[in-house]
Parts: sequence; C-alpha cells; structure tokens
Amino acid sequence: MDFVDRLPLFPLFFSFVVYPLAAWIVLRLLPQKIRMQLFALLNVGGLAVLCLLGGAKNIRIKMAVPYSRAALSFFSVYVVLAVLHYFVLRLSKRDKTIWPTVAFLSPILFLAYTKYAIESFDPLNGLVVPIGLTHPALFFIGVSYLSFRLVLLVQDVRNDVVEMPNIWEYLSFAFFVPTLSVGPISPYGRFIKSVRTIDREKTPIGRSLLRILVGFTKYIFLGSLLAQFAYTGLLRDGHPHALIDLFIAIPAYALYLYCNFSGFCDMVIGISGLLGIEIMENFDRPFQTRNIQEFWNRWHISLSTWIRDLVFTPLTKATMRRIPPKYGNHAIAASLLVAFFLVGMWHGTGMNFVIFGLMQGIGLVTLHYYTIWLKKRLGRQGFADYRKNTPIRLTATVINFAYFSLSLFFFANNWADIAAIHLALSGR
Amino acid sequence: MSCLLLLPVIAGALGHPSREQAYAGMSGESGPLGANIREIFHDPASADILFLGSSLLRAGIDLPMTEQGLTAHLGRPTHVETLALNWQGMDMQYFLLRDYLQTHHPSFIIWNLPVPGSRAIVPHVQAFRFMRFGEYSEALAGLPLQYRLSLYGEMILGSPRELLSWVRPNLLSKSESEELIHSPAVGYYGAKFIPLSPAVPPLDTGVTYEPQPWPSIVVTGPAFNSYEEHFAEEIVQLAKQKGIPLAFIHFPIDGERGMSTMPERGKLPLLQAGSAMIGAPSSAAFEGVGDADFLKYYMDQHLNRNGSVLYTERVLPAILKSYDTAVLHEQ
Repeated sequence: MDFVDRLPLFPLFFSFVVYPLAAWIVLRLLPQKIRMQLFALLNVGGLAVLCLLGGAKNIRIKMAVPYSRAALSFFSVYVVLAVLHYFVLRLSKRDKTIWPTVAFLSPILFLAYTKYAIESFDPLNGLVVPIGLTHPALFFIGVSYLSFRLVLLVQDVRNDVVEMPNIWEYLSFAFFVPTLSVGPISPYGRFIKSVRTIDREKTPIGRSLLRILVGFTKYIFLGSLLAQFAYTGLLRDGHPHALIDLFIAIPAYALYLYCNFSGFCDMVIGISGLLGIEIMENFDRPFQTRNIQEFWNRWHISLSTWIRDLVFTPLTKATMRRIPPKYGNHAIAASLLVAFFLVGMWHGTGMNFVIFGLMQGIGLVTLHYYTIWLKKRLGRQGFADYRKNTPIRLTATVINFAYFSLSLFFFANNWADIAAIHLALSGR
Repeated sequence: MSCLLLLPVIAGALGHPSREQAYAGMSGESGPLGANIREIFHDPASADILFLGSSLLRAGIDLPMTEQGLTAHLGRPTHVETLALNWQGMDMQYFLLRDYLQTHHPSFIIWNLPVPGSRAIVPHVQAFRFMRFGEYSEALAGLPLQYRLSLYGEMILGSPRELLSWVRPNLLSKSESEELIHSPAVGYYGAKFIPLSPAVPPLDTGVTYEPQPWPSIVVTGPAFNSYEEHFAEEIVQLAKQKGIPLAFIHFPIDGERGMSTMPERGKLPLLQAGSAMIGAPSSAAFEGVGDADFLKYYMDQHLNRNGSVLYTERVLPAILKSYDTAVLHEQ
C-alpha cells in the first residue's frame, strides 16, 4: 500500500498511538505547572491533525493546498468559537441575566447551524466547493459530541457540581482527542478529577489494555465481517437481491453498528484508561434488554443520559406543572416523543434520521402505555411475575432487538439508498 | 473467535460455490461484471483476440471496431472480447484469465499493464470476493509471507458472503447480464460530453507497433512491488503454458499530453515476454487534435467514447499486424 492507501488509517494511528504516547508524556512526566497548558495544546493540535486528515482521502493531489487551507480555516473557526464559549461560560457565573442561557444554548445553536444551515452561508461554503466537497461540516470533527459535552459542562458549572475550569482545562476537555469524534459524552467532573490524579482502581492498566484489544477486535474484525451482510456490503452492492437478503441485512446492520460503535468506545475508554483518565461507559449489553426503555439505558448510555437529564426530565416537569395530574401519563408520552425526535435529529440531517428517532419515541410511548395497562390488568404481584417469566423475557428480548434493528434501516439509509434497495429487491 | 479465523478453511472444506458466484458477489462498482461473467462462463466461443487489463483498457478500446477490422482483415467472422474490471490489480487479471482459460482458448492475448500514474492497490480492492481458500493455491504459493497473510485476511473477510451464497445465489440483473463493454460518453471530470468524430487517418504501424526493444517505451514510475511482479509473471506463464501468444498495449492517459514516449511501469524483462508493444505516444495519437479539444477525448485518466474511437482507429492496423505476426506467423 502506498501513502494514499494508508491515509484512512492515519486518523486511527494518530488517535490511538501517537496521541496517547504524547499525552502520557505531557500528563505524567512533565512538571505540573505546564501540564494543563501543554495538554490543551496537544488536544487542540490533535484536532488540527484530524481536521486535515478527515477528508483527505478523497482529495486529488493537486487540491492538497486548497484543501489544507480550507481544513485549517475551519479548524481555526472551531477553536475560536470554543474559546468564545469559554468566556461566555465565565461570564455566566458572574452575570446571571442572559449569559447562562447564551452559554447553554450557543453550542446547540452552533450544532444546528453546522447540520442544517451551513450550506447556505457562502463565506464558509465557498471554501469547500472548489475542492470538490459539498459540506464544510466534515471539518467540524465531532461537533455533535462537542456541543453536548459543553452543554453538560455549562449545566454542571451552573449547578456547582464542578468548579469553573481554567481555559487550559476547558480546551483539554472540549477537544480531548480520544472522545472527539464519537464520544462518549463524558462529564467534565470525572474527566478533570482523573486528569489531576490517577486512580488506578478506576482505570487499571491491565483492564484498559484488555478494553483496547476487545475494542479493536470488535471494531476492525467483527465489524468488518458483519458489514458484509449489512446494507452497504449486501443490499447496496449494485445487484438485485432476493427478499431474504433484507431479513439478513436488518439484524446484521444492528450487530455491525454495535461492534463498530461499542468497539471504538472500548478503544477510547481503554486508551483514556491507560492515561489514567476515566471516561464513562457507553454500552452495557444492550441486546440483552427486554424493552426499548431498558435498551436506551444500555445503548449509547452517555447520549441517553444527556437526553434524560437535559431534555426529558425538565420537559416532563415543566409540562406536569402546567397540566392537570390526570394527564400526567400523556405528558410523559409527549416528552418521550420530543426527546427522541431530538435524538433522531442529533444523529443526522434528513427525514430518515427523524423517522429513526420517532420510532424510538413511538416504541417508548407504546411501552409506557402498555406497562400502565399491564399493571392495571395484572396487579402488582402479577406484574412482578410477568417480569420474572423467562419465556416472556426471551420473547420480549427478541422483539426488542427486531424493532431496534428495523428502526436502524432509516438510520443507515437515506432516501436514495432506500430507493436503491427497493430497486435491488425488485430484481432490477 | 478461532472459528471466525478459520472461516476460509471451513468454507473451503464445505466446497466453494462456483467461480461465477464469486464474481457475481463483487460490488457493482467493480465494472461490467455481467459482461465478464458472460464471456467466461456462458459464451462458449473462444476469442480471436482477448484484451486483458484494467479500466484503462476497457475504456480505451473500441471492441466493435476492432472486431469489424479483424473480420475484414481475416475474411471470416471473428470474436473479440475484453476481460477488464475497475481498479488496478494484476491479481484480478490473473484470476479472470485463468477462469477464462478453463473453457476457452483465445488465439491472442493483448494485455495492458499499470501505468506510472497508477497506485499499487495490493491486493485488489475486491480480492476478498474472488480469492477463496484452496483455489489456485499454487498461483499464490510463490508470494512473500506478508502477502499470503494479507490474502488470508481477505479470505476471512469474504467468507461470510461466500457461505451466504450456499443459502441463496448472488444475482445479476437482466441489464447486467446483457451489458456490452463500451467506453462511456462522459466529459472530462463531469463536463458535458461533446461527441466528436474527426476524420483522423490511422497512424503508421511504424509508430504504433513496436517489437522489441520498444524505442518509444520509457520505464518509469514506481517499480512493481513483489506482489504485482508475482502476478505479472503468473499471467505470462499461464499464457505460455496454454501456448497463447501475448502482446502489450499502451493507452495514453490525460497526463501524457504532448509526450512523444509511452511511459510504462513494467520492467523490460516483463515486457520481453510479449511479442510487441502496441500503442502510440500521446503526441502521435492526438496529432491534429487542437489543445482546446484534447480533453474532450477523456473522462479523467481514461479515454472516453471520443478517445476510444480515435485511439482504436489509429492503432487498429498495429493490432492487426501484431495478430498476424503472433498468431498467423506462428502457425
């Protein structure tokens, strides 16, 4: 393989080899008085490297200079906006008029802008069209995770869960390279505590190494095998397919996504653990759950925790305060739909992601009303027995997996992909 | 986990589905799979001339024109075919050729080698589809260990889909099965295609047909790595074993504009296996074509339909002469 073929591996190599070595030296070997500054610069530098490498594979050699210029421009905008947010956060501690709201909302608004508005904003879009790209958002590496991470930080600072970070601690947290692109959306308190002092009971070296190995196996090996049966590897290979292939691709994609996503998170948690930095868990055997509520407590845990704490719970409380108590169950149902509508939109632009999110919401709402009905019908003891019944639990687990896998059809495929799959299944 | 690592061995022990199924499982982005599968597995007629190579060849040669020319030249119906898919890879070419030669005996093979601007993608991007454990293993035996391990990894990757082929076959659509190989009517990097049909005379065969030592050839660019060399040698040996003469053909890419030589990556010892190099340097091939029109003959590195017609017309006499020398003369 020559340089260009190796290019897609560089971000992985950088994130999981070069960066950890450099971070270890900075965090554990350098004097304390310059540690955080250098760690922050290392993470910001890491962001620059990832911005440069992010879209490089598809760029022709003669576009290397304009591409680099565009990548570094967006990188600069990204960092400047993060620094501005920091100063707004500081301001929000002193001036509690509009600044707490600005600090809370600005990352969300920036996220919405990068997802939905940026194409129409010419000064930025003008940088990418000449290099053959259509959307500059790819340079804002991990913006979905960054924005949620910062909102969580704002909340924790406002509620005095953590003390105000200095600019170096803030930048280190915001752009912490291992969690930059796919999370987990780990809280600042846990991060900074373990940066300052290693607690090897929480991040044992052996377990961290094992996590890396397990994650690597899931991400590279198992994920690649399962991808052969998923949509891109099977149904969208450009050939016609029998209907059985749809029933293969649906569960295969769910398993592939689990191996891909959780495997990457395992590596992230493992690498961070080697550095002594504690990152929250993101997956806990999600396919062993019996319903969609339990599922979302064990799938992408950091996101579901964020949505629960910052959207669902406040929204439900606010609604409950305004309506008669007899409508309380409906308030919960409405909040579930809103929360997962937002989850869908967070995952990507396009109606297919909205459908994905709404399917989660509909599943949760259905479960919510089903549970209410079941409790009324069976009584407390009957419901407890129902919960303990093994055949029911196994059946529910299978149905739950099937439902989530089906919803991923819209997560994995945009309308053009769905049209291509339809064409393939029609035998054309 | 060990079961997964042994998947290729398990698949081999169970017995692989047909070679046709291996190709039918390749991505549609691989190129005209249907045409290649039809030629190898369904068309019983052996080619008078078999073109072998990459997408540069597939885009560059006008098959109907070549067939008409050969028919007129020989005074009998002839059959010209192409085995060529996307992405560089003499491993791919070897496997296509070997499968073709199981049931066919072409009279002549004309082969295009990777050009200096090409990147060595080893193994081929779709190797995990067409290489299966235990098949043609003697052809892989001479590879360095790193490549054999790499290929085993490819076979692991391809095994799940291969095992799925036992459950249900890989399908090709009617249009895929019936597709013909022709150069696309596409403009340069997405520009509008403007059909051109200039009356350009064929070039002197002194320009376009070069027996050894090929004065117009300049060996340049990155040398073949050991993987590429291995499969290039395997192709040469396979043709020799079957008693089929071999010649090379050059297709000028867009980057060769104005050049009076034909740059090739293949080293001379390899080129000496062929009876001739057919082709024209870009300056000769596009003689009479103005600067403003040059790129209208290309879609990117590849010749488009304009370029294919122009180039084939110019080198056809050399193809016929090469056929005469290699096939008729030997007879």
